[in-house]
Amino acid sequence: MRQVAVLGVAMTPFGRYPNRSLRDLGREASWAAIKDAGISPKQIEAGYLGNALGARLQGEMGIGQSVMAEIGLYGIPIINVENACASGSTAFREAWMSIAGGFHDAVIVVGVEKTYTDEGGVLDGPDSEPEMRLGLVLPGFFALMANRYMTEHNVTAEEIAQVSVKNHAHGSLNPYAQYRKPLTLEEVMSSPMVADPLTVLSCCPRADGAAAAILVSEAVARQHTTTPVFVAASVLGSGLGQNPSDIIHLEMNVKAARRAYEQAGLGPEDINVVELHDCFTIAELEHYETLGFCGRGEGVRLLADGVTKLGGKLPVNASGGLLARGHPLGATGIAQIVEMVWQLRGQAGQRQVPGARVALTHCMGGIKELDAQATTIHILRR
Amino acid sequence: VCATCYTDEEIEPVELGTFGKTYSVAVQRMMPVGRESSPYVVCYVDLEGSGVRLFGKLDCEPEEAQIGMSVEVVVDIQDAAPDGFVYYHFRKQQREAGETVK
Repeated sequence: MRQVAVLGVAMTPFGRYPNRSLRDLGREASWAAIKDAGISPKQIEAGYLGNALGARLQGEMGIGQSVMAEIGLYGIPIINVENACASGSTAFREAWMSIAGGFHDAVIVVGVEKTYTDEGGVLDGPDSEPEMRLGLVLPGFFALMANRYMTEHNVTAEEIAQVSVKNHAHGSLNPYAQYRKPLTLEEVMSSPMVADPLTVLSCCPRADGAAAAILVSEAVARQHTTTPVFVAASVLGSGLGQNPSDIIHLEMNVKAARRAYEQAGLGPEDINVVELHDCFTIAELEHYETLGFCGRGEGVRLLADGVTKLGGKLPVNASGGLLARGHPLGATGIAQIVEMVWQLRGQAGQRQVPGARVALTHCMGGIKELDAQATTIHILRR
Repeated sequence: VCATCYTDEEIEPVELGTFGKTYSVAVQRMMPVGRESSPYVVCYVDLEGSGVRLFGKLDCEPEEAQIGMSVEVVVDIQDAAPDGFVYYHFRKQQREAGETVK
């Protein structure tokens, strides 16, 4: 397998763009990533685009082709990827494989999504899963996770809500974040209840936006920079279909993390900065544990001790995460990569983690039989 | 097809118990537009005897819902779907004390 480098990254600020199309948002991020990489579009041999809901919400298909035509990319293979909330990170992995496997030397990967709709409210899950047909909505799944966690580990709703306080504090330092205002615990707790104990401000918001990255072979990277950011691990897994499975310790996350550390030849103790899938506050605590940053039931302590906030030993979601940066589904996985590349290059401004050299991103999509439909983990290093 | 041995031939129906205890519960209060608007309880239930963890709505007041409650399955025959999907929900257990599960 060849080494793969992330040569260029870019994203639009996440937010609400009622007057902009997927094509337009995708164009902005893609073109800026090409500029950031300093290569010509002529060198790009394939394009991958992650989007989850364009067919349902905007009635679109072939979004990859429409976005890439905007930056002059015709004729090359273009692949549209849907893997629920992990669509972008799955597209990134496809792009990585194409270079690692020696098929291409330079490719573009884009994530784009618009989830704001006129009616708003909670986003509906797919009817393809029995749980959804029987009345489950996504916040409900994570509320089931939270309640079980609270009972097993003797934790309070306030302790879980602190995840949102931390990530909004981080988001306030990120000009690309949808929410740039710090929140108090009181504000999080007193916002309307979505599914007990998760309030509106414990859930990620609807968001529109795009993010893009240029992946190249090591040889191409060396022509452009002396300090490339390399992909040390790229892992994708799907739900294990076990029954009964443990809702507060999703086995797929554990397995994916183990494979990623093995691939990178690193352990959780080697990671300096993390972007993980905090779609709901409780998810962040579950991920601390399943990614191996602490033991089972110790997530709350890791958070309360300040380990995972900026200034701590292992800052998590310095960007604001899904809770504050926002979660345009297909764009999220790439936005996590963008943030990590900025962190590794020392370009993360006020939210910079000093001296970060090894970064991990974790993205999770969909619910299937008490597990996720897809989990991706990427480890980047420079 | 069996996910362990991948046979599509020797598959037989297994009877699961109808009684169990809630593994986790949650009250869904905010729903997608166009869906049921009053809050309702959902849960995962560990079925007695079979070790299966099953999702369903739980017919009880939000404030009654708790982990470890004894519940039973109710099949909603009137809601049978054209594609054969069987709808069911849970309710608080109504069996008599001492009665055993068949």
